[in-house]
Amino acid sequence: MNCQDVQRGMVVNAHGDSPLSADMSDHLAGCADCRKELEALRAFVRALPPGDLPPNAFFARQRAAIMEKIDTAPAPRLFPGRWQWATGMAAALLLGVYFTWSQRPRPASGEMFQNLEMMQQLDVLEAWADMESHGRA
Amino acid sequence: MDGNVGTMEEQWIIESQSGSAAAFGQLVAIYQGKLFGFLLSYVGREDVADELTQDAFLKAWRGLKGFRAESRFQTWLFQIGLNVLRSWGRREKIRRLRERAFGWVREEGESPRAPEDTLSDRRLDADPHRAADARDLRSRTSAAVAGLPPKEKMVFLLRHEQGLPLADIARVMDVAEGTVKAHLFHALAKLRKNLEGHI
Repeated sequence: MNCQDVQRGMVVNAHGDSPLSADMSDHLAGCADCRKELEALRAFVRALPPGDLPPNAFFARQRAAIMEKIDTAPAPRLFPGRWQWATGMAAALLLGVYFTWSQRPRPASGEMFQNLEMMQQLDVLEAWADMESHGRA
Repeated sequence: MDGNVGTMEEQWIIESQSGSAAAFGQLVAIYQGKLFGFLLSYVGREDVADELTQDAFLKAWRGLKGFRAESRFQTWLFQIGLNVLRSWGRREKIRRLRERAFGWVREEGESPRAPEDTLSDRRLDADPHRAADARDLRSRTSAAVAGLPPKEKMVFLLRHEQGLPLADIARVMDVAEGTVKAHLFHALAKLRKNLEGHI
């Protein structure tokens, strides 16, 4: 680890609540500049003022407001929102309809050709019958 | 958090998941200050932070059955808080664009206050000079934090004000831990530079 790596990595330890990694400890043991930098960073973080919060009365009022909203809200659910269920059911229904339609019995291609031939023969027979009837007339 | 509170918290979570509003009230009592503090530091307005905190808790209540204890309750709650914050940010952006486009004027009392106005004047020390110095430092720090890019500000606040470990921040923000580390590095470097001579 070089000084740049160590100084980038020391933000993890700036608040003093995480142990130093072995690599970092080794480097710090032999590098006065990085030790100084870590101390400066920690001193800076300690000197930062904490965020300001309102008095307890504010939180009591806020809690009351939250609890009031919760009383009127439905109890916790695994899948909140009935529209999700409705959408899911509609999608399942559509899929079912499509599947049923796609599985309907259809004539095989060979069967279709046979039917076509039969229809052509019928056309020939009809034409012959017409000619016959004209001939008789 | 000590072990006892941890065990009680687990119990409150289980009871809340079964629909006990009273148990959820205990969780609200533990975490409302933390969540509100984070949101307040981020948005800089007490009224907005209050509204967002309430909204986040309501969403947490509704989605509580989805909490699987794979993360800490606080991490899960802050994820919700962050989503609420993002939605608010989008609405604010649209509102500002609309205002700019139509030249709308704010109504009285609606004007956003600078973080220093919101956060000041609460902790008055007995010594007026010290109080003034402390107020000045808080005001400068708030302004410096407010000036950070959004992600750096978020990481800094979650780390410094809420004391969340980097792994939890990564989970809350849904980014890699290395990214959190980089944001924190840049945030601290900028704050040190901006507050040089004051801290």
